[in-house]
Amino acid sequence: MNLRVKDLCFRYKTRVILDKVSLELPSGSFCALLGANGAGKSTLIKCISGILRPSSGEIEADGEDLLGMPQRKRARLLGYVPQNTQAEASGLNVMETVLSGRLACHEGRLNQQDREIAMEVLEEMNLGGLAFRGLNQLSGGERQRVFIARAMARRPKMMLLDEPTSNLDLRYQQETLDLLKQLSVEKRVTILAILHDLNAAIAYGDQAALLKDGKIFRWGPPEEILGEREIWEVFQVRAAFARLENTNYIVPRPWKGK
Amino acid sequence: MSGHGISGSPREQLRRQIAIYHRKQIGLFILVILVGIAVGYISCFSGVAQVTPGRLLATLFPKIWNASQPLSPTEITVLLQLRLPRIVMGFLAGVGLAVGGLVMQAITGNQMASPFTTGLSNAAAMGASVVIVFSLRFMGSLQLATVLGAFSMALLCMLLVYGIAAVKGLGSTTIVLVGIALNYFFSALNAGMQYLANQEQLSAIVNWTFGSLSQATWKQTAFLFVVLAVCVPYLASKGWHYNLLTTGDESAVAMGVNVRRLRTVSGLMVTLMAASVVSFTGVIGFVGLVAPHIARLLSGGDHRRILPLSALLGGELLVAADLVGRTIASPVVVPVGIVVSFIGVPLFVWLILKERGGDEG
Repeated sequence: MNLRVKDLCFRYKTRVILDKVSLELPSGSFCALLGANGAGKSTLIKCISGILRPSSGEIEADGEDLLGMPQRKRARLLGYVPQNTQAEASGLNVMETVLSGRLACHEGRLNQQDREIAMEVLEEMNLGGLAFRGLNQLSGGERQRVFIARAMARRPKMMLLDEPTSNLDLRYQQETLDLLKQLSVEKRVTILAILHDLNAAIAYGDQAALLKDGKIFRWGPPEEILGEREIWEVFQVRAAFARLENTNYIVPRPWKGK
Repeated sequence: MSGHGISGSPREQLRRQIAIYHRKQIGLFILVILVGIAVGYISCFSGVAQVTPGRLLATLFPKIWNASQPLSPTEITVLLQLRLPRIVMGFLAGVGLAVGGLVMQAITGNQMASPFTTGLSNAAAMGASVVIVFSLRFMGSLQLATVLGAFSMALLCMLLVYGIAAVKGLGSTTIVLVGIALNYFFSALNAGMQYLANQEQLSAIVNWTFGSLSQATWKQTAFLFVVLAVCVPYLASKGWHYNLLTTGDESAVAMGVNVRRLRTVSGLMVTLMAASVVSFTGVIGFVGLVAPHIARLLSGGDHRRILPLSALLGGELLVAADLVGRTIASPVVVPVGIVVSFIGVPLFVWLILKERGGDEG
């Protein structure tokens, strides 16, 4: 799915959160959304997924106006993975949670195909053994994978992920990002993911958007836009660069005293 | 056969697990239904009038079953006009309160919520108090006027809660907070009414607030049945939506749920059911809180399952509580509201301790 965001603005009361943000993601691309805390990354993802209504601007999916699209139709196109959930109290098990991802497709009436898709996704996310475990009995990382699986269960054309690897250990961070990359390459699913790991953005992203104070500060291939100056301007961190197997790695320089 | 279809493959194992899980859930439902039939049966044949299954059969089929003495006309009247409507009303009231409790917990994201979270019980009690204190009549009947007074005040309370909460976008916290505020407001008005009441009126008001099924009639039962027949299927059809809502408003919106509409319509239906129950039976607490929790303990968190399960458990709990109330100190009848609280409070505290223990363990 091609996504086009043009001059998107979002204000909370008088505070400007997003200021004329424009992006274009071709179908099947993996875009890392980067920036310091409070830069407007989550707000941008929520505006695209329909959770927040932008103050002005345009969002188009394959040339169709996403903002004017009926909520259910939009939900069929987009898979959203939130940063935080209240899952502990829900009492649902993993299977029920993943199946609930099919809601927008079938108005709540599930058929065998829905169950097969849910099982397929559970296998893809390595969650088959936890299918009947309650969400409140899972670790933060396992729960995170369940919510990614729920978004994947609708077989969306675009995935919007708010820090999808924040609770995952090294193995599952890599597995999750590998899977998302595979989705983008093989199934042409467009991925827009907020990442804090700049090296992961370089390794997996075709594009990266660096947000600062609600504006797109830099936009382009991650390796090109993540220079020492950009990292200092956005994060106020001094970074060193190491080159390994033809890839640049960013190493933040720790404070070593005076 | 594809690799996934091989017996013993992860997919096959998962399919088997799903089948076992479904069988367990069906077994649970059958068990709960059987318990309900048993409670209804015992309730039907327990009480001051000696109505036994044998005597009922002798009345219905005198030629085939002549081992027992048939029921007298008075006993038939007791069975058909007092005991049966009482049992059916108890069951329907339990269904309404339990479903209402579960849905309120889902739409407010608060497992301590009940149908009365929005202040409805105190509003209804205030409506009944006004009628009793000012001796108002509707079509010559004080009882009918009491029902209408309680019902209209409960509806007014609902409109106030949702009207005020709508200003702030109908968030779950706003609904609960406005409900608590109005609860205190109507409680104060109710206290004012009791202050104005004379001894006889005060006794009538207090009696009403106990919650009782003794005034149940077939007409009231039919009215409640119609209300539930409209509301419960609608609420049951939203099981998936409540499932999504329990994982957060944002997730639900992104999944295509119109959260604002769901919260408003569900809340209004819960209030309509609870107002109908309260106006006929008085305030019966705890069913709406305890039944959904027992359903969750037995069957997990899927609202497609626990909504009908809560309904059955709520109905059964109320019929069982009324049975205890009618028989424990017979011929004195202890109001069902009191018995439910006696059973419900320890059960609820136990549930809280069990849940807290799990959290901290």
